Amino acid sequence: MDAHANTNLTDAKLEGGFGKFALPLMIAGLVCTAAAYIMGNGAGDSQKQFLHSYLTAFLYFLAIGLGGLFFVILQHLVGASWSITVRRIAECVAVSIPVLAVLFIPILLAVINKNDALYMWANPETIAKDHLLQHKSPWLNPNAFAIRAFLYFSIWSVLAFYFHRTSVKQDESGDAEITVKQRTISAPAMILFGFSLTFAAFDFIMSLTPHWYSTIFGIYYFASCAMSFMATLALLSKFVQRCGGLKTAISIEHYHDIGKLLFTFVFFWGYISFSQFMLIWYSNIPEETEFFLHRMEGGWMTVSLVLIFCHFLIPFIGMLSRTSKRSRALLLFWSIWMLVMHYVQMFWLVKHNYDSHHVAFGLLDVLCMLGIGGLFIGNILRVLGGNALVPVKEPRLAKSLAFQNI
Amino acid sequence: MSTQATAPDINERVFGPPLVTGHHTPKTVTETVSVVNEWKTPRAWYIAFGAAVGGLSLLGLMIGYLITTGVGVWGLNQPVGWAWDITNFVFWVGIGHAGTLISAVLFLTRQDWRTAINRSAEAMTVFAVICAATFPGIHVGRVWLAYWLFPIPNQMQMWPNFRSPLLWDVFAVSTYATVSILFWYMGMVPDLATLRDRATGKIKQFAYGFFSLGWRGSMRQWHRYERAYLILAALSTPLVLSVHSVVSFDFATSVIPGWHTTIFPPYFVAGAIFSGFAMVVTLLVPARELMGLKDFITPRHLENMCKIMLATGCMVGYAYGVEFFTAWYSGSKYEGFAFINRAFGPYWWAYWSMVTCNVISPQLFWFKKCRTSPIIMWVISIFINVGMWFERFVIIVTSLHRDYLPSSWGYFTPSIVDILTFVGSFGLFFTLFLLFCRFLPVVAMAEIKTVLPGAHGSHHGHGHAPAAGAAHTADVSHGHGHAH
Amino acid sequence: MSHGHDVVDTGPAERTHGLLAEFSTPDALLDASRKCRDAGFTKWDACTPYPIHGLEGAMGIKMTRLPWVVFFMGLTGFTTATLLQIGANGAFGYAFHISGKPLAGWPSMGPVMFELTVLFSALTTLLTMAVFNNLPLFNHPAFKVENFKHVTSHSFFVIVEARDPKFTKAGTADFLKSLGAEKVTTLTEPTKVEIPKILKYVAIIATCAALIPPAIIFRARNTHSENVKIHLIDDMDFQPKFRAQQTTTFFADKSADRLAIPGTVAQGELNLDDHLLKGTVGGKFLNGFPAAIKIDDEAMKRGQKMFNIYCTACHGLAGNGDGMVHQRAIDIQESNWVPPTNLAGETTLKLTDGEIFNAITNGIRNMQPYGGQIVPEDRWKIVLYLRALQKAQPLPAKTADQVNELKGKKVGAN
Repeated sequence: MDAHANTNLTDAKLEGGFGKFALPLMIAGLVCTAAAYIMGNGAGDSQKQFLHSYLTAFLYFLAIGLGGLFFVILQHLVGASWSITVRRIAECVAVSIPVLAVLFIPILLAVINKNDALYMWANPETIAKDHLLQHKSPWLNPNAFAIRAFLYFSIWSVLAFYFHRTSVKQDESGDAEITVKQRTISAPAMILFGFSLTFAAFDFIMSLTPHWYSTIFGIYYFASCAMSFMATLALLSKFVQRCGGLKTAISIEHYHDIGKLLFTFVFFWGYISFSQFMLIWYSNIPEETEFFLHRMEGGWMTVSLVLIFCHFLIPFIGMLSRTSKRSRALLLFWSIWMLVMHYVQMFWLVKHNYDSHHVAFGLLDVLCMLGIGGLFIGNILRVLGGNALVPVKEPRLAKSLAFQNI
Repeated sequence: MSTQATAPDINERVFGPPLVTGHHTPKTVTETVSVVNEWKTPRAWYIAFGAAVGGLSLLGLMIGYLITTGVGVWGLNQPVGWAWDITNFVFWVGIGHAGTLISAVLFLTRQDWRTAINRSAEAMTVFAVICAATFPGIHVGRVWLAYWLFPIPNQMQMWPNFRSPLLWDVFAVSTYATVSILFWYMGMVPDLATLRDRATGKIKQFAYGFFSLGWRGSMRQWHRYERAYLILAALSTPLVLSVHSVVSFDFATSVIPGWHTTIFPPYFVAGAIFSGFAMVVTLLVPARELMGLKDFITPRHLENMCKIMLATGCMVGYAYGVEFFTAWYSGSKYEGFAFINRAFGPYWWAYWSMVTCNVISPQLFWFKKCRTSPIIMWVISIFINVGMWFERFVIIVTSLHRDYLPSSWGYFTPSIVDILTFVGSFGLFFTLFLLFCRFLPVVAMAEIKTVLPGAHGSHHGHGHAPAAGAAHTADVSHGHGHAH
Repeated sequence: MSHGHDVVDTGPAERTHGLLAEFSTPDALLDASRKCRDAGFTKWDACTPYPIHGLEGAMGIKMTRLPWVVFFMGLTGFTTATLLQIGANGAFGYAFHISGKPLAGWPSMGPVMFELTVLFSALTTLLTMAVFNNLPLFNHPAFKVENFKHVTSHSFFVIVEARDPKFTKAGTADFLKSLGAEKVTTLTEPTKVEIPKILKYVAIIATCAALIPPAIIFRARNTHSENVKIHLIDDMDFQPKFRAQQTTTFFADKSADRLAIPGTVAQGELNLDDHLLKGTVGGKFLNGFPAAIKIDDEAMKRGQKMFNIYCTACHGLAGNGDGMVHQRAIDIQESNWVPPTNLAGETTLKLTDGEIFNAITNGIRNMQPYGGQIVPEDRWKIVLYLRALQKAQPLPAKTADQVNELKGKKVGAN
């Protein structure tokens, strides 16, 4: 293909955006969230079931959002040009993190109200009886948690807004200096991203089992973030093309690269999970093994096995060949597969805390997913439809359109 | 702010300067690089080689003394059973990782700038792995029984212990050595053919001819070659992750504080790439001057390497931070003590050297001046390698010298044999590297030719003057990938 | 650009291999390749100094099957690693136990499985590439052409082989010239290369020589020998000491094991001082330190040091029986746990110095003897320090009578 590709794309902006989908999704999301909240309150267990289902769904979509933010920062950092055609979509995913910040409120409220249904350290009485929690209480206490959560969401929102806003601004001005500036900012942005994601993972997930710790945990959650986002990107790109946008701009070459990255992060997730598990298994120290041992009992053993085979081994083999990434059908199949497995992973992490003996999946879980998902995805489409679907005056757009894979 | 920038300037800032400077054609690329192997050996080479061989002899002497007298000639004793030996092993293996990263990972991510440095980096990898392998080999005591490490059938039904990370290490490093040599050799075949076709003496013709396998540049052969190259790159990428992860398992599978922590695998890999790139810079900054390769190893290449050092240095700093936080968060007084002891105990000097060299010195690469001055980056690269040596030393020795039982605490001091063996290993490394520079193609000529403007015909867009605005570009580093 | 249109012919007697056409730009080569492909040639090739993007398409080269071979060999490596590990530590090898780990636990098998997969795959990749590419091939007819040596530098070539059905000497030559070739040369089949006799002899001798070491090993493994083993490290193999049950010609009864000579005592083992060594005076445990022990600040410090090393694990820093072993036992809710004695408590307060010394030396109840680890002088210093610890702590609650009894006063006094 000619490197001097025509950058005047006719389908770079859709009439009416995704209005047909965005608003209904967000309304449905709001309704489901409210329904879940009400149902959760009525269960009489101080929101225990609701909070766990809600946190699972929340972490699911937060991972996608953070994956999007990571993708945007990374593409700027390494000066990649292949991804320009899909970068706007990624920016919109990232810029929906503030929606999640608002959706975090039920969890935050529970913690501030010293409700230990979710995080046992939220209740000072529990802390008083546990010397380990007392030691950790300067970190694991409701106020510090709240301040840090505010900090994380602020960092992510500011970064997401910066990259999105400047990119949209470039749509008008075509100013190439913006690209250079974005690259300069991306380096410290990546550092902020890394640390904030790590401590968010510690706070939101690792503190569910406050006696346990694992230094790799931040990277562990990050692997899920990157992987789930790549799957989402494939699906969103396809959706945009289905709606009539970017029909030629996103070509099989781009999907190939998205597929490669999805494969890479499936492998990366496997590598990190294996490292974490094997090291704890090998040293066999009771304080550490409890995390995995409990997830090998009863129904949870099945879930653990599903993770090993379906989150790693099967998709690894399945996505090994070049064909699987260049066939749109196969790529979409694996994307959907990985997004289902992503839920299993979050479920395995969070819901075990709710019931360590039975694998309980019910209406509340579905409502939370639909609720948070509806609002999150609806917002992505809303923002995406409001501007051009690609950064139309990005200096590297031509290269991206002409891109051919190995 | 935008209107003042002139079009070429902004294009260079967006797309980067040309990969190859100096208006090269395939012919001049061949000449510039081949001439390094063909000219009369410069005096500087002989002097450097003499020093290197001196170091190598020193290594031989120390190893000979070690084997005939025993491991007691080192400073090792209870409780510090591993010190310089394993530090040096991890140090050298880590350095090797940059070569594989440059060859494999930068290839998969279509970073064309790797073509100028991949050959010498791969060579560095092979030689670093050789240096690394000597240390576990000689530290076993009865070196003549080292073959017991391999699963060879024997009449005693004795097999290696596959449940030990030390054995996983044997497999990992052996595999890594093999694959690195394969990758390096396969990459060299077309360039060896180039040297063969230019060779004048009978010996040179025979040697280059033999090792280039009769390569004639047939496109049908190139097709399979490129596919094989891609596969080796795809194999090497997880391999390089796994090798240093397995090395980290040597420590992380234990129970002692400071060693047993789950972040070790990715942390070690990041550290390895960090030290490896530092060594590449240490080697190539003088090499490009002395061998006339500045048109290929351009300031852009050097700057990219500095950025990678900055990135991996930050990753190492991140790991330090998370480990330190977790030492407190865990509530385990042994974990906490291990880290306090590192910073303020008897080895505080090693710890602070490590922090200064690893976390602080690469931060200088935030400044463009440091990323573009060969002298500054050369000095920083040396500091980084010193820091990375200290990192392994701090991890190994501080955790061993004071763990759970105070009655077992002790202090390790290296003996002169420890020190001279390490110095000698540099002799081995530089002997091999200097031989490489003298006799083998230092830059991947065939690969450089693929990134020259116009290399793939005029349909691929090259060297046009940029149109007004930023839509069209004067890029010479288009993401073409390799032909399949 | 000059276009030489002459066909260079090397002579009619040798068989023609094909025609070699030279080009000087990638564009020319790409164009020529497309035309060759479209003209229906099948046995032809292009030669370049580097792989030109798009040339495969221009030539109509199909994707190689190499990746499949690699994949299957990778699977072989994976399987080999699995079977090897399951077998070596269990099925066919000696099953030794390592810290309670399963003989073939999949987490511990993982790394080696991965490495062997990669190793097999990588070796296969290179070998298959060489085999499919028909390398090494040192005598290709094109090498005889002088210009062809520029193929590895900057020139581009097309070779059309004579065995192609569409090949005709003159017609194909004209065709190539029409593509813009600068020069068209005839290639002749390589003459059979006669391997020099000397190489044949060397090969035969080398093969035979290579068989000798395995033959020696085989013989050594399957026969017995009366010969003495070869010793490389003399002073390790022949250490100047006698081992148990060893014979020697030095003594008449040829035994290296000797009984102690009757009536002799080893130097330093006279062991006359019962008080110092056993803690008894006249067969009884009493209070008071042996004369050999100088009671001063140094002794106290030594006692403290030794106490901290040997005793605090169970008895704690203040001797109250709350050392880390005890705390751990409580933590893990160890059943049948007998707490270490509180050395500042009643029972120990009542013991004499000799009895405490005896307890350290020979152990007591669940406590192991420490006589083997601590020299007698240090044991006394531990007793000294222990007494200091006891004095430093508040007495257990006592009636006035009990206090008096301890002080050695009559019960009932005030």
